[in-house]
Amino acid sequence: MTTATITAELSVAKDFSETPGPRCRKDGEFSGEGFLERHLEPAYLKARDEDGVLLIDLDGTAGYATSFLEEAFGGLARRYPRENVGERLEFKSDDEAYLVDDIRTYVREANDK
Amino acid sequence: MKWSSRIAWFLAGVAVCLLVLLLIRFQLNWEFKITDFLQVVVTVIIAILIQKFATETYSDKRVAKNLLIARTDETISYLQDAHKIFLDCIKDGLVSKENNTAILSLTKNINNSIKRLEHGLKKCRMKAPSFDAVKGNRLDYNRALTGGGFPSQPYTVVIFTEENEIYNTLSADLESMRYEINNW
Repeated sequence: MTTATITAELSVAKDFSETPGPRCRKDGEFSGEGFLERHLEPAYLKARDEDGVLLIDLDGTAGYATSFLEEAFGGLARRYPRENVGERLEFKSDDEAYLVDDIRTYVREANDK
Repeated sequence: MKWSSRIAWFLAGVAVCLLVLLLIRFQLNWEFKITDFLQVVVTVIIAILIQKFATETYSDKRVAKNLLIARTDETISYLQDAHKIFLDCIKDGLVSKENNTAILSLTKNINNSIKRLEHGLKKCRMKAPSFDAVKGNRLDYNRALTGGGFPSQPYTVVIFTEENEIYNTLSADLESMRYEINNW
């Protein structure tokens, strides 16, 4: 785990949607692709430039589809080195404890696809 | 029951016995050695301790087992509901908005109830060999239900086969867990 401090925060429910949707934009509203491009990637870059960590609050939504999470977080790991993505992201998930482990799996497996 | 009241009851019992013996004019041989007396005291103390230990251990273990079995049943129930909705989606050839919401909610419930089971097993220091398989298949089941093109694209035959396979494995592992917990 990195010793850097949290320099950016992102809440999926407050900043994006309480009902995260499908994988791609063409498939519907509030997609993983849309979240990646409009929120996750800019916030990740900000944290990286400040040598900090991005804290993502996953609570408060109706639930996440694997397709959404894989496209958003796996997608970020396909654009940037996955080790760096893994280090720059921290998560808060009180609603669903396994979610953090699952997202880390998507990041880890992103380049294998 | 408190120790003081247990001892009081015991002494009261001894007193009643002596009274009865006196009333029926039973001739007691009052000659006894101190070792006999100590032997009786030690025997009584050991008997009380064994009874206390056995009662508490057995009842605590049963309560823990019942809680874990209830958690396992809860997981099985969520899993069955998710499978039922999945089959409805296959039959309809699409994932409706209502079914989308229900599937997301049920996968969340399945994950959380498995997490609670993990926590419970750890707290009770219980080893259920089937739990590792349940935990291992959890993410695969999530992927089968909500991965790929979910929810905009209908489930394919490949996903249908995959979901069925993982569902059956997970159900069997959860059933095995119930027996493992009960026989613990």
